[in-house]
Amino acid sequence: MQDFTDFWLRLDNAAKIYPAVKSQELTAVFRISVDLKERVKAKQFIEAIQSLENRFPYYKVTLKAGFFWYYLEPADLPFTVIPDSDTPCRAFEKQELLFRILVKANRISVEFSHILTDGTGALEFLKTLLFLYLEKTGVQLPQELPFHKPEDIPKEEEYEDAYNRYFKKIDSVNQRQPNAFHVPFRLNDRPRLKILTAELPVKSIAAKAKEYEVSITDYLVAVYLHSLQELYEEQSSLKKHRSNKIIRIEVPVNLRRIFPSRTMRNFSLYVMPGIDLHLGHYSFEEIVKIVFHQVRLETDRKLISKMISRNVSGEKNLLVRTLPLFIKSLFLSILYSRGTKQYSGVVTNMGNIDLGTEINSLIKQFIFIPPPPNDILKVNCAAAGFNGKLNLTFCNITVSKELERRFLSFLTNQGIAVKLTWYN
Amino acid sequence: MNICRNCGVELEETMTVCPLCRQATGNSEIASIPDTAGKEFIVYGKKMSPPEKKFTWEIISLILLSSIVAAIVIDCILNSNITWSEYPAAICLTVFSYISMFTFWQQRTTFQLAGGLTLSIILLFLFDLITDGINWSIKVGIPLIFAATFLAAILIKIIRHSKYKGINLIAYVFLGAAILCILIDGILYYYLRGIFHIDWSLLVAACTIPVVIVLFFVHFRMKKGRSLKKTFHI
Repeated sequence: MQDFTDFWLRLDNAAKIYPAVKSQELTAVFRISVDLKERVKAKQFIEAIQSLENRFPYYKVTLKAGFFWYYLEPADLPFTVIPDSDTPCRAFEKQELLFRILVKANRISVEFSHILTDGTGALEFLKTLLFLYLEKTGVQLPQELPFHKPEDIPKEEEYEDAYNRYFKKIDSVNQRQPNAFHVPFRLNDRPRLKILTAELPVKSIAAKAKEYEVSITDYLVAVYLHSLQELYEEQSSLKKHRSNKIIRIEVPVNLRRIFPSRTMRNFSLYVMPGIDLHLGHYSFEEIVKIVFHQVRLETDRKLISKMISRNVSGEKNLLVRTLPLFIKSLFLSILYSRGTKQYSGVVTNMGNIDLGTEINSLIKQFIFIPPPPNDILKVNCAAAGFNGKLNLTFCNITVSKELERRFLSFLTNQGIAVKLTWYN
Repeated sequence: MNICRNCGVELEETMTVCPLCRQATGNSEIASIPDTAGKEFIVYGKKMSPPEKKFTWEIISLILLSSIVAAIVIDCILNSNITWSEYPAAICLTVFSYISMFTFWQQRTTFQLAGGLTLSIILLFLFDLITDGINWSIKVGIPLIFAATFLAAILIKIIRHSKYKGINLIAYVFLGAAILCILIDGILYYYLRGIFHIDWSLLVAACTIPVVIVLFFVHFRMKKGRSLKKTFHI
């Protein structure tokens, strides 16, 4: 049995920036929901949550401010479940755990702060909760089903900072990217976040992607870039002149696929495929080609290593380390808004979720809601595939749905059936 | 099918309250509501009922009254006058004032303390008046009671607002005692010599401070585990 008496965690490299920038609007909280075919049974659901209590000690923590850095400290708080009746992705209070479990009718959701983990960690947690719940309702789980069994002792690798594990000092010059174009829409009144979800048949989108010889993610990113290009081009000459002429999309990459790790904390970076409108108009075919090559190039192991090195080196710099937290937070928030200015949008794809035929038959869909965008980015998009359907989610803090309209219209024009759904 | 109207989940037929949102499913009043951890709420710190309070007050009042009478009688036998017995009697009257306020005046603690202070000031003043004219009450008794009450109020506030109630509370009490000593010293010196001066209490405070520091140190070490590294890691 491992001793967790003195258990505490440094924030991982990706998490370090969030405490400095998070607010009631920019919460850095994302959600994954699973819609079951039947209503959630309260008794069994609570039993499932109770059985998880000691399995994830690295999630049973609260954020604390140290003198130099924030850190995660164990909290003697139970895993609780709350009715899903409020705005998704709300901020966590100071004394709360950094994740919450929500339930409503036949929907189970988990919301995690990015301080704690990324989409992969959250999905693993949700899968574990779901399997245990189904088991309690009498479903026979397949023997080989991989999940975090409550009786297993948490391994150190589960809460390792994998960025540090794969950090190698690389001396190379990092070029600063020029600022990118951002949608010119007015912001909503607070609370700003509005969510739009759309359902697409995976088969037709996969066929289209195959037609262009790219992955579904590449295809979605290309559509997003194309829609942004249209928005740029439809501006008045003066606005066009004043706008940044680079359109770039941040696409998170699950680093576990490149650098093996079982960490349940953050371990993702991003690539930023984009187009330069100084060079003129791009056809969709050109955009798809650019996205495909840029993504392949930037996900090269050596380039990812370079990015890890750049990020972790900053954290390891003696001057940075010895700065008191309040000064460091000031710099981090400046760094964050400078970073956000470099891309026009985010498209994150959780990929296809497959839990095996038996479990799949009990589930209607998975929905992935990304963290609310900040007031520079304004809109972002997430996707999750399940059982032949791809669920797209747009988080928008502006009064306009023009970007979503163009994105989805483009898909319908390509012959892909799009069904808009309410997330409620 | 029993379904929660608030969160829409399916409940067991026997459940009268949704264990997730605690919404009652029917109109029945439920005495105990299970929380999400499936445990019942437990009421800690049972308070005394009014008759129990009154009974306790009567016992304490009797003890205090007999103490006052005994002190005065002994003083009178020995000195044929009320001399030193004024002081224990004054202490008993002060205790009586506070006990009475806390027993019969159901208010916030701050108001109860203020009430106790007011009542004890009145009693001490009257007691001083009837025993050889106004002498010590205004210059010593009332300032001392005021200082002690004020410090007690601050201590109560701090203790109530302390998230962690452990050795830190002892440290707060030590700190309060040190400050009270300084105030007592100052008030007595002024009463006896007519000038403001602090003497022995500084030594008391100097001895108390290291104890307070050690207590706080032990408390925070225990509260946050054995490692201070997390607070100061770079």
